Amino acid sequence: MAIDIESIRRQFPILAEGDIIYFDNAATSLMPRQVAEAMMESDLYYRANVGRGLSRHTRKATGVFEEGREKVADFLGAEPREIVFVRNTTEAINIIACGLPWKKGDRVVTTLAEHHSNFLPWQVTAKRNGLKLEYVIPNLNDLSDLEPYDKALESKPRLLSMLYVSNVLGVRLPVAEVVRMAKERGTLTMVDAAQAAPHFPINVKELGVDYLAISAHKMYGPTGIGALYISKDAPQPQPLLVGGGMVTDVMLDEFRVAETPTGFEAGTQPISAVAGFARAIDFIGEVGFDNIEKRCKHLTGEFDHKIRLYDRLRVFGAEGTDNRLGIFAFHISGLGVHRTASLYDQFGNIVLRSGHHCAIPLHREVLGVERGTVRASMAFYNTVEEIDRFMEVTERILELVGDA
Amino acid sequence: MREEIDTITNGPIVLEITRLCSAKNIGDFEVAPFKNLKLDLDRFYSCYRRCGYDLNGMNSETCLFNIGEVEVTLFCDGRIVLERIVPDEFGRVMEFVEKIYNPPGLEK
Repeated sequence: MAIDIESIRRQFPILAEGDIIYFDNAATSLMPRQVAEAMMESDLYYRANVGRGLSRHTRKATGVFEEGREKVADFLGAEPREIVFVRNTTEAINIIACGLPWKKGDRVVTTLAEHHSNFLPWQVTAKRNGLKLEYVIPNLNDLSDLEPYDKALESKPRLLSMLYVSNVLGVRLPVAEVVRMAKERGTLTMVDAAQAAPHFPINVKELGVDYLAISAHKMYGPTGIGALYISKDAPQPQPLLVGGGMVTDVMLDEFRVAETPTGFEAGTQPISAVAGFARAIDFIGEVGFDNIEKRCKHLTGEFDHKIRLYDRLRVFGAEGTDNRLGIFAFHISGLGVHRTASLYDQFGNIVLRSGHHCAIPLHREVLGVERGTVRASMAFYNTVEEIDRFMEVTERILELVGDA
Repeated sequence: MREEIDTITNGPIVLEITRLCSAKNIGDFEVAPFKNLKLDLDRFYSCYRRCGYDLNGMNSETCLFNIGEVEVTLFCDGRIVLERIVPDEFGRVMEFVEKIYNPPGLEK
């Protein structure tokens, strides 16, 4: 069923009540009113420490929290016991990187397209444990090219960790194929699905991935909450945080960690954030991935076509809409990236992102760009009118700077 | 990082300085007055021109220029975007802020 985009935009007070053009969805998506209401309801009516009391009040809070886990599990095609609530994708990847029992000399592979959240944890872990860290350079001109991954997997590394969709270029990497190749070689796999989760369905069992992470704030949910999928068949890492609520016994010199997911959820949990996360998943379900994908493809095509009409704009990454989402990194020649982004804000109230987008290795080693890029990133609730307004402001900027 | 500066046109003001990016000891920063200012950019523009700065563009909302290698974007509300500051330190940022808010020849 087709969606009424105006009705959906009215659910986002920022869009309904302001004249903002929000093109920074790859950083954080906007949040619909019902998600905020779910969080407020949790805080106002069933605020309690989950799983730690016998009252009806506590049972209600625990129920909401565990229903949230079931929703996330269902969203990813996992079992609830395989879903750990974390603060964000960064924390999730740190749990895997720091928590697996490494042996000196183990090899870990990641790509040069990664967000720092899937780069720095492996650097640190490699240094601490004497691991060998290797990097795949994805073929950005031919995303179906599996050779770079095949080569990296030849010597059967212990783990491969990669993103699903680039937060800079919007390209969709061939995760399903790479995970299959890794499994054939006995290599564990971790996927950063932060950018993928709001845009298309993910099924961890079909992918066959061992670990996968998402963040709620990129999928219309609250900040400070995300999920880590840990396959029940994969090695279970040691927890990153220890403390209350995650043990079965504590002796004077040791303790016993509870099973997954409890063993990874130390301390009082962000109950209202989980309630909001669950409501955000409901929201995606109500809109439907079919509609989201169709609409995003249309917006991506419009933006891609129009932005490439300007000679002074250099757009990075593949042209067209195949295997890519509406995330565009670009330069206006002769202008610094922060100047560019601030001019879009000044002239059009257009929210962009400028800099390295937490992906310095991608910029420096793959794109050959030292000072970053400007990024426009779309969600399904954006419109063609907003894209046209962006192009009008582009012309105004070009007029202002002349030949500078 | 918060800093105070005495300005010719607006007296003492408090600034919020944010590091935007940093790589290889070269930094980009945003400098935002705590309270919006109302700068007459025409007057500033004339001073910058006399200083020999490389002017890239100007209208009533913004003034774009370079001081040496440093790219300056000044808005009429007093916000400044500074790119390519070497070394990428707050003290160095304040040297440029002084040149931008208090250029030689600017009168109260």
